[in-house]
Amino acid sequence: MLTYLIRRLLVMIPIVLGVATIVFFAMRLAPGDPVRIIAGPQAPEDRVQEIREKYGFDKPLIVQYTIWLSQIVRGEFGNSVASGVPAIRMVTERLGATLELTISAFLVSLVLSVLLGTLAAVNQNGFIDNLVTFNAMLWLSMPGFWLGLMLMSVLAVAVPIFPISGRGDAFWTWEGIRHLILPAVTLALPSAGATARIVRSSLLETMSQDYVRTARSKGLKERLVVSKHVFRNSLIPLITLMALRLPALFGGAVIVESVFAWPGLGTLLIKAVFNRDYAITQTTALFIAALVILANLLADFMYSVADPRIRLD
Amino acid sequence: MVAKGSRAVIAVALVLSVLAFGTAVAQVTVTEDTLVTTWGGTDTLDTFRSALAAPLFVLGLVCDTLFAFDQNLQPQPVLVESWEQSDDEMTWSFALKEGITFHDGTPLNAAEIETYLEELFFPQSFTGWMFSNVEDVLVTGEYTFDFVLSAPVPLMIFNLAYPWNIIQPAGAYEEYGDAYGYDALVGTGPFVFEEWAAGEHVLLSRNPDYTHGPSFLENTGPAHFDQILIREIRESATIVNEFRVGDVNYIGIPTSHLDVVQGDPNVTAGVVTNYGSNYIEVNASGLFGSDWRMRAAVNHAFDREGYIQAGYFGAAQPSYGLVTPASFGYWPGMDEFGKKILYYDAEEAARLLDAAGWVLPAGKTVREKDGEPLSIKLITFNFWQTQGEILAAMLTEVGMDVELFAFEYGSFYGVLEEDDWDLFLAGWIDQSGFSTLQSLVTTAGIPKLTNVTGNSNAALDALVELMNTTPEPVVREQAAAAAQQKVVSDLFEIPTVLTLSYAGVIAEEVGGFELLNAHPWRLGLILALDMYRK
Repeated sequence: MLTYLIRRLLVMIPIVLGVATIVFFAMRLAPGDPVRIIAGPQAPEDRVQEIREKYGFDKPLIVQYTIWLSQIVRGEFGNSVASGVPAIRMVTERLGATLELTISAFLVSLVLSVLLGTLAAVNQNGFIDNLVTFNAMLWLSMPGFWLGLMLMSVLAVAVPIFPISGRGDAFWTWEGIRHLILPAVTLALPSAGATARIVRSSLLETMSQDYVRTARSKGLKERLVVSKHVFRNSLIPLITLMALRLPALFGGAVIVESVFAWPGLGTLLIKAVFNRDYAITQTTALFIAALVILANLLADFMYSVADPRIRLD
Repeated sequence: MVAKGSRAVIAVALVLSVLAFGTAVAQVTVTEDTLVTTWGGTDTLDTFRSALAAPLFVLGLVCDTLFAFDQNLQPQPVLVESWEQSDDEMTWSFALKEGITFHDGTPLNAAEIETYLEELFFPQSFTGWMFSNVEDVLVTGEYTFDFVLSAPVPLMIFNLAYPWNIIQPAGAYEEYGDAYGYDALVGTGPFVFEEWAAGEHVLLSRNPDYTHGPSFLENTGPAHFDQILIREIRESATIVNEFRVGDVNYIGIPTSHLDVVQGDPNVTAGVVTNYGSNYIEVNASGLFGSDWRMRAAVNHAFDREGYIQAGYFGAAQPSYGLVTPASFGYWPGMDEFGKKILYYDAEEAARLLDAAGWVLPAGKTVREKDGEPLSIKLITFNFWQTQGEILAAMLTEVGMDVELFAFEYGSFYGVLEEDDWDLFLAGWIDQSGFSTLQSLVTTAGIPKLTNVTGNSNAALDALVELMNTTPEPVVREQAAAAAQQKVVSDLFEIPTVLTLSYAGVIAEEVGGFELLNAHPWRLGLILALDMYRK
């Protein structure tokens, strides 16, 4: 078990570095000069050149890459060219907010999809099944930006139950939860719509298995059949799907953070990309890659929880 | 293999370890004496690191310039008591107001000014080039100093009023190092920087010792509000919603959102004259550069009214000059003059193209010359993609084959370096009173990236130079007028529309909005000093 964990964590390193390397070169291949962007068109060229030299942008690309790699090994992520502040500080200042949002959305999506997928499966082709399918398709079809504004207009402006924007307080306080609900639900609904369809299909497939028929023939109540025999055996595809959904949640968070003025990594990343702030984009990419890999590691643990036949070592 | 319970514990521990990041939340107590407003945020408040416009909003509340522009774009003293230019025009002498201290306790005196300007501002500021003729800052007394010049700078006080040219204590830069502008901002302004919670808000508190506001404001003493909370919200619809429920007192929004709030009886809304000057730039080294008839054809193919309706839903005005009322050198006669040249006439455009040798072969839709099609590349920013498509359609109507390339702002300088374009649909928001003409059309005296057309015209350079250096207001106005007439006649820059891009909207319970609404841009000093809770 421990060996497995160490092996997986070691595998993380080249993957995370690979992602950051792609970001490193992609950002530099895109046209644009980070120093000129922040200095403005009227700044004297010698002053602009001075800043380029300070950040090493005047060096050949491969030299810049080598320097960057050696910094990463030493745990240095460089300074933001736009603010002068260490990139690691700027990223970690906002990481918490993004994690709060994405993990909450993940949990909301999980609960909704399991609940609705199960309801749809046990009422196959009935009214509830059709209702769930309709809602799932609706959520899937709505752009996150529009959905967020609609939820805001109804539940924060017309009927002011929730605050409109901002983070409020720490996530374990009532004020924090109130601020979190609308952005989390906005981020969760499209994901929940898709996952609910998968849960339904998976449950229906398991329901047609011989051992389920045997359980029913023993006279077990349908509720017990579903919870004891069907649901657990349908979890593997759900875990896989939810793990795969996490990167999409990080992507969606960029838009939701903008709509709800949520102070997460999304808004920082957008500004950094537009300003060609290399240190920030690379550091953010490193963190997001690491989080996605950790989420997959978590999924692997969940496999073994769901199915004892799966051994992690 | 470990026990099932242990696996669950590890899984929960993984979740909790990532959630542990989510504990730091900045809290602010909003009272009746708090003015709550919004901004789009920025990366730094240090003007030596960024020349972007976003920081100005906070800088204008915390820091002072020696002079500030009033609503008529005339520089008025803020930190300065008196000033004069020597007869030979080679020295400017200034006397500071006495008794002013920076927020960190550093006294504002001539020695502090000398240290700040010579050691920090001149070498590091992106606007330091404005003072390239200042050879020496000479301290002549505790509160008096001279600028000793290498050449006359008659408009020195205009340059000193430029909002990026703030005065800060040199010691604060030393104390905070790279974190200055992020963890700290020190000025002499009416509000003291308290904190900047990244992505959330900037909090400022009243400077009780402030007594040196410019005379064009009603209030020149301490601010009426105890604190200003500037929340970072980027999405306009969210800003409007926050305002409508009363959580924000003052907002700046695109004029297209005005109708949403104007129906509310509790709202005082006014359009702040934050002018956006929009134009088509012609690449002097491209297809249109050497032939005035080609540029005139583009001019006459452009239908301003149709463009405004289709591209701006009517929320813009036709533009006949580059310089807006918010910019130095504005000439009120420009509209009348420009209308004689800048008008839509597709038939005239076709005639001009015919005369230039680009004819429309029978049965074809694209003009040709010596067997080559009239294929052009139109570039613009991605946020003007729709407007670019409309312009492309207009040019197609007169027989041009238009390739539209829309790029995001970060690619701007890279695209310019490639120099692979014929027309550039561009724009400029005037919010500083700075000379648009100097930036956009001259090739002398300043870094050249702003005149992207590459058109070099000695007569035009001379006119703008005269406009910037003459001490005579009448001569200045004449030079500005002549320069603008020349710009429009040459057609390397073809003005398109004037956008009143932002509306300032204030809640009914807050007063002191009138001057802010009359000023060419949202000057922080007005916001800080004149606004009050009714």
